[in-house]
Amino acid sequence: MIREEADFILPENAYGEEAAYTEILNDTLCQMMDADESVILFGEGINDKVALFGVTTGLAGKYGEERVFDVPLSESALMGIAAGAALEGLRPVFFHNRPDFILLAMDQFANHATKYRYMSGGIHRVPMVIWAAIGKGWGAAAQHSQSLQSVFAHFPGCKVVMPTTPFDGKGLLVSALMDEMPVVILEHRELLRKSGVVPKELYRIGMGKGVLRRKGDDFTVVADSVMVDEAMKAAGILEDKGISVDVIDIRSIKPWDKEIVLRSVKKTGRLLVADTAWHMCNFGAEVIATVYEEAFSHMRAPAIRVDYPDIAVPAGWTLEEEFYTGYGKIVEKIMESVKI
Amino acid sequence: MYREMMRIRILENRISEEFVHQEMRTPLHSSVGQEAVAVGVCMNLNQDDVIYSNHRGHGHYIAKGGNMGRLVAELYNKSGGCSRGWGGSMHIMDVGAGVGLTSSIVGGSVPIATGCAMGLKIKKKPNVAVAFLGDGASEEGNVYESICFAKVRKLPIVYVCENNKYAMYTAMEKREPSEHIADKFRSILHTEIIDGNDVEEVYTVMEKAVAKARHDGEPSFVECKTYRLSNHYEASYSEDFWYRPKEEWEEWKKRCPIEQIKEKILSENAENTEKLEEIERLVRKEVADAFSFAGNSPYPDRKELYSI
Ligand SMILES: Cc1ncc(C[n+]2csc(CCOP(=O)(O)OP(=O)(O)O)c2C)c(N)n1
Ligand SMILES: [Mg+2]
Repeated sequence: MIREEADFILPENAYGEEAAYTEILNDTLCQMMDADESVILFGEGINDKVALFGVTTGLAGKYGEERVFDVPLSESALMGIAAGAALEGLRPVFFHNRPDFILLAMDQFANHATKYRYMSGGIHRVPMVIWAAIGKGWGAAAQHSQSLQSVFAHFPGCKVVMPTTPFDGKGLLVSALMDEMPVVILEHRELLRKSGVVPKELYRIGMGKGVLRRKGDDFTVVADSVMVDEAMKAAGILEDKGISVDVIDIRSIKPWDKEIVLRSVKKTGRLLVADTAWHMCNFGAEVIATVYEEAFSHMRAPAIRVDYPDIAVPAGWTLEEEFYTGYGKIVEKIMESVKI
Repeated sequence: MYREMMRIRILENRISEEFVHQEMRTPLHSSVGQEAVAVGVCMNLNQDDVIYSNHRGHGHYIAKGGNMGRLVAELYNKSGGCSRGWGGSMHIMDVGAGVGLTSSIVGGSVPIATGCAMGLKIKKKPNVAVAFLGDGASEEGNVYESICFAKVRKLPIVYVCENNKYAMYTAMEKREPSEHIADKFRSILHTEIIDGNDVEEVYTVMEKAVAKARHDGEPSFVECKTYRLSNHYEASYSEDFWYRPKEEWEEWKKRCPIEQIKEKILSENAENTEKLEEIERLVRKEVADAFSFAGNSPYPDRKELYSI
């Protein structure tokens, strides 16, 4: 049986032993593959020694190469192959080392996988998962560190999630594997280094459900991916300055939890969105536009975005440091805003 | 074979005739002239085998056993359409008949068909997939990627390339390194180059290719030389002879796949004339019925837009 997130209200450490995020994902995949024969996994390097940071270690040995297999460097066709297999009743998970590589497959993602449900008049379902881990730092540079959530989220017919904790990583992976639409899971390499304690049994987290990570009255901060940790750090600093902050980990970009954001903004009247994406047309803009559409009268100050400048990510660490914004910028912007 | 080809020919011709009334609001790509490929291929397939096709897909759909009335209703954007009014001419399907949803992105359904073959194999079904593609489609990277993958994973699939010499209004010579599309794939998998206007040749070559795919997981690429006697699609600027020589068209008209088989049938026995006439009469009735079905089907409820 698959339980719901809300079934677990115990403190984290009540669940058992601490494990690495990647081990937890590996274990979740095993549980899902045991539960559902139609789940298959493939991706470049899935069975090599690195095995996608350990997420897929040992799975080919356990389930055979028919269900867990390495593939040629053909991102584009493989996206369509996943969709075709999904239409035949399988549940493929297509792993990518980084989201940057999915750009090669955008035709099969945007024109095919997400469209077949519509073009068939609702007869077809395309249950597939596209997994990738965002890179950052160590000179990853312009083509190895892109956060593309708003690109994927633009297309009708898919879902996009960005888990930030092992607990959410497991629950969202389970939900993704039970969904009827293509689901893009964007993990982050920095977050994959975490470890945590999660329930052994399977549970799912509703798609489009954010979570309040910290409670406050003065400011609402909505964040995704690594920006959640930055926001939490910023909230700690702001607390010392007498400003208390609601930190919302949005977890799911499409669909996204409008209610949790509106509820908070109606209380605080102030909003900052911290998004790991470029400024132009990003998810932060979507959140702010929606708040202005639906809760304008509650706003007491202009909304703020903390995100990446409209510049490609540089390689050198000094330039990189200048490029990536984080908790410092969040604190600075909130201080400026409350002064007004 | 004659009947199946006539079903496509008469349907396509009727669609072209009706097009002038502008009631079928969807880009219509006729397959007149290419019927032998659709029929010769699909006659080798079982109901549970799956085909995936492209923008020029009416013929494939009919040859595989797709419901004609629902196809015509789809062209009229009706709710009784095979894609319930959401697909139009370029996105047609009939799950029960093994017709996968067609794509209008050139080459786009080739990976989908390949994935379908993978699904069939993993689910241990005794079925094959067929991917129809044009000469133009063979220029898309997805096709190369798919074919390599199918070979490596031993998928039960046949790639059927309808080489009609043109991609829209651009001739082969301006796009292709060789006169044969199959040359590009020869080093990857088993290829065949055949006369796509000879339905019996298509049938026999495909029989072997389908068996190889079904029993040995050995994919093939079959290039069928053919020609579209119709325009690229129904549109005023699609008129024939500004992009291809009239003589060429006339030459291929003489090689019409239906005329060829008809001649053969009659040369075997002149008394077959009546039989052929009877077939034609029945097909005309079927096509007329399909148009009445479409005419009687309502438009989808506008609120259905939000229901999917
Ligand atoms: C990716 C893509 N590029 C361009 C087009 C426009 N287009 C529609 S049909 C066509 C020609 C296709 O030629 P071919 O594959 O030989 O098929 P044919 O029309 O000859 O049957 C083109 C270029 C398209 N639909 N998709
Ligand atoms: Mg062509």
